[in-house]
Amino acid sequence: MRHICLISFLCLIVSNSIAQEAMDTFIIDGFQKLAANNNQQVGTVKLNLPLQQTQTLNQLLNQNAALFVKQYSPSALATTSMRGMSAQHTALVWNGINLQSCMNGLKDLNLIPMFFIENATLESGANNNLVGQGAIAGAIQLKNKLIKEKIIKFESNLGSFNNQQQAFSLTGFHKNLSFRTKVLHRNGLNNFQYYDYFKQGSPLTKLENNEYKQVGFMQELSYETKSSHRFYANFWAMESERMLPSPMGVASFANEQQNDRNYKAYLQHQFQINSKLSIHNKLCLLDEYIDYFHTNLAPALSRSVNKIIESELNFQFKPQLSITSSVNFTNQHAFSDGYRTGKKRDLITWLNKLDWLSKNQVHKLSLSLRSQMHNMELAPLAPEIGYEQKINSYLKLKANAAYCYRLPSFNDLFWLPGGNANLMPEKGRKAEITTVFAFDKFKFNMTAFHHLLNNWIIWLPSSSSSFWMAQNAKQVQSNGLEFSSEYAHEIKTHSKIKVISRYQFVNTINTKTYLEDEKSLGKQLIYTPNHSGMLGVSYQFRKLQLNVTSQYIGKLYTKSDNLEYHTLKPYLLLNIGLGYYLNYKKLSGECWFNVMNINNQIYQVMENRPMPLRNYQISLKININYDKN
Amino acid sequence: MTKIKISQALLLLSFSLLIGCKKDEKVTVLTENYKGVYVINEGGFQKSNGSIGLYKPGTGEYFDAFQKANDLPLGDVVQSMIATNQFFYIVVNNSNKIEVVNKETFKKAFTIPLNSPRYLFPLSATKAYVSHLFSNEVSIIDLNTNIKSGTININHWSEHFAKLDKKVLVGTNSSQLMVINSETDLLADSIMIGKGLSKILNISETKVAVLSTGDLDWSSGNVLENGKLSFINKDSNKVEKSISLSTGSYGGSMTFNATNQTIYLSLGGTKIYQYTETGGLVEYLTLNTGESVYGLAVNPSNGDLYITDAGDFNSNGKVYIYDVNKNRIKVIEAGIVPNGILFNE
Repeated sequence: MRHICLISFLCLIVSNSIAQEAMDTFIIDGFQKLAANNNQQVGTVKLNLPLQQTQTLNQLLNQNAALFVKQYSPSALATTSMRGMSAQHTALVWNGINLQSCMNGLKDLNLIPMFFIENATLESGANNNLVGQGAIAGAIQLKNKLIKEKIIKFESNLGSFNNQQQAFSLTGFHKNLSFRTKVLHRNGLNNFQYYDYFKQGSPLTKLENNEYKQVGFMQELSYETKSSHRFYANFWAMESERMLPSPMGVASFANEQQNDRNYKAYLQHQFQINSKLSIHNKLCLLDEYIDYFHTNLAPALSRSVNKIIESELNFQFKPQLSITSSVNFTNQHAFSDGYRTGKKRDLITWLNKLDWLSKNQVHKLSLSLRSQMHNMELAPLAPEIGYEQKINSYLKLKANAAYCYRLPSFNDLFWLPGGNANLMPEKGRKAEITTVFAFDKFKFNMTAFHHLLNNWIIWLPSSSSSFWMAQNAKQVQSNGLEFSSEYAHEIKTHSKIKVISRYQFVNTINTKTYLEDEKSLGKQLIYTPNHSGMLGVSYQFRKLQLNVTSQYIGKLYTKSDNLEYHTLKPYLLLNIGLGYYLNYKKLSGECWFNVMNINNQIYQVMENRPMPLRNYQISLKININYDKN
Repeated sequence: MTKIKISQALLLLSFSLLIGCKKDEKVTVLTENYKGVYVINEGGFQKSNGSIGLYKPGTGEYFDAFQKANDLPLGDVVQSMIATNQFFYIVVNNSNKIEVVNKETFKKAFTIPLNSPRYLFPLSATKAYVSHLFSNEVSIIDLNTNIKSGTININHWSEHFAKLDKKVLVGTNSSQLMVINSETDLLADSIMIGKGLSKILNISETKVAVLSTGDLDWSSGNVLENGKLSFINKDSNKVEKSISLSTGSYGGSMTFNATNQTIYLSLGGTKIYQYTETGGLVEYLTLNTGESVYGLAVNPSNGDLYITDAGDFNSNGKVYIYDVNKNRIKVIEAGIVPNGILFNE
């Protein structure tokens, strides 16, 4: 923790000394050149998520997407799954780098403070070829955008249960060199009250052992040469310590604690060779530690290191036709008490993609093929096709189909006991069709999708011995519908209204199981709601803004037999925020008062894990432009 | 507003009176009879969904007894249940408590807070021992007050109990049984058994059977040491006889039929073995593919063998009932992770 503070301080000194001269504004975006054509698979749906008023990625998804986020407590492990698939099937991508752990295939959404992110999008469905093998159900894309500006930002949040966050950033530039330094500190007790129905009379009880502490630091640098070379470097460190509360009914004597340390170093180079040819190189190191402590057990320590090198060549034959080819080499190395010895895996991925746009700009087509070698074994080929047709000025049709796969995680393969080195990759297919309607200020999307995944990896009691073993044991089919709409209207000069709604129906069932008469056959997957949705209304009058958001999660089955008494009740959460925007010379800012769960809903996201009742938060954001011009 | 005519009002009033004057039906309040076969459902670890199911062989009815009698969930990892005096003692391991319920009504009478309790072993009407996970002590419980009255340090975590006169044998997480003098409540001795010490039970007042499951290599699953069935008698503090099993495992279960003096045991999986003095150890029964043994019990009234199957450890398990002729006569849909049976017919 101490060395992060030291590095932050040194970088601030360096940053201040070079931030003297004004230059034109430009944006360094991880995908700037290729974004227009190649980052988004043709035919898929992309939702941009607003970053305001949320502290973590977990809160962002809860409040802005019709997604179910599985979480043990507001600050504990949080994962999400799209379209009824598992958390391992949703990739979390940062500047084009898949952050899913090679050890368990997950990424904790509560470990991503949104202060470190400038752009977040949700890409449902068939886009796996561009993201990687973990994006079977979709991907959450996070990006940094370094803007050439001179600005100091300060944020402070205070909330119920002693939750607080302070964050600071300094952005500046000197000639062609831009930089930004970010520092963040969060902590909280999270000792909210809940009704403990394991006790006679269900008394209001304080949740114990739920405090957390998190510090983070990010340093970005970008440099552009006159000969069209662009360099971007990012170092991001996060350290967090979290106590893990016991569920209701469990004695909280174990003092469980999890400490996470993540270090990411990223270097990107873009070069526009000529008007038709560009090259895009990436180098990344991900170093992650997870340490688990329990009063009565030996500490469980684990570490994973991913080294990634990628080179991408884009050739624009004609204005309507481009080909992209990329090679990615990833070295994964993990150490855990559960494996006894370190485990390694080398992945070599070759991706080829063709994008075509008709001359009248009515038809769009993209074809891609991903092939991968892991430890010199060929993974299943993953072809993908996307098509878009502009029917008229209001209506667009999108379609996409792909084969997909996911390699087993290190835990699935090597954990002792139960890891199964003979596991096959999960393989499947998916297809979706979307209608996009846009008329003036109103936008409406409707998507129907189908996913089928074979060799689904689950841990089951072994028939030969009494420990659990990872097995390719299920086939899962997921069909559903997604609706989203947006309406924005300026009523008068100083008055705006925006309404966003999203709804998802998902029917995800086991179509084959390890036993023919298994009770889960034909049943909805656990913790996968059939219905989920959100509605958000935002009204701005001059400098005042009122936000009202609601989230609905339908009934959740907690057991694979889908018995009625093994369910969690549907819940509706209502949040209200009132904000005021400040503007004074070179100073701007905003202050907010938010009330979460204003309807005081008693709800559970995980069985017997209480969630907070009504709670409050105030936040203040100040931006100071120190540019002399 | 439409006016109601007087005639209509009178008609309505008459009708109401007619209903009101209807002869009272005889109201009978049914009180639940808590006799039957109890299924101890451990529940998922840290899921707080353990329960005590009551199966009534006469009607085939099955319900959550504790929830029904007390309108409360029971807790996390319901490890064991035993009857003594006028109470059932339900040991809820990961909730750090023993719930004491009335035998007739199943109503909660006391709660004994204890650190990670596993099994309660009554020594008399007034005294019991309790074993513990995460503690090197065995607790002494005063059954008059249901309060912990003392502790005995045995230097190991503890599991099952058995008794040979004044000596109480305690299963541990090591390869040895610890011996407590039940008169002095002091550790008296230890008995080396072998790796994978699993279950111990009295097969008579003078003899104890011990099941150990052997040793496995976690990385390969290979058996390093086979399990064994050992016997200890009252007069010696050592294993007097030991029978090697054909394989090893991580867990096992064992029960005893006093009528035909037969031990039934399993190392998980589908196989159940029987042991008799005369016939030795032989394979007794094989479950269907996909089924597996998690707990065993014999109904003392008719010799039926009850086999609990925890299934995927995540949804409801099952209990298979076999008669003495090895015919499967019933399958009970139990709660989550059924680990044992208690008969109270």
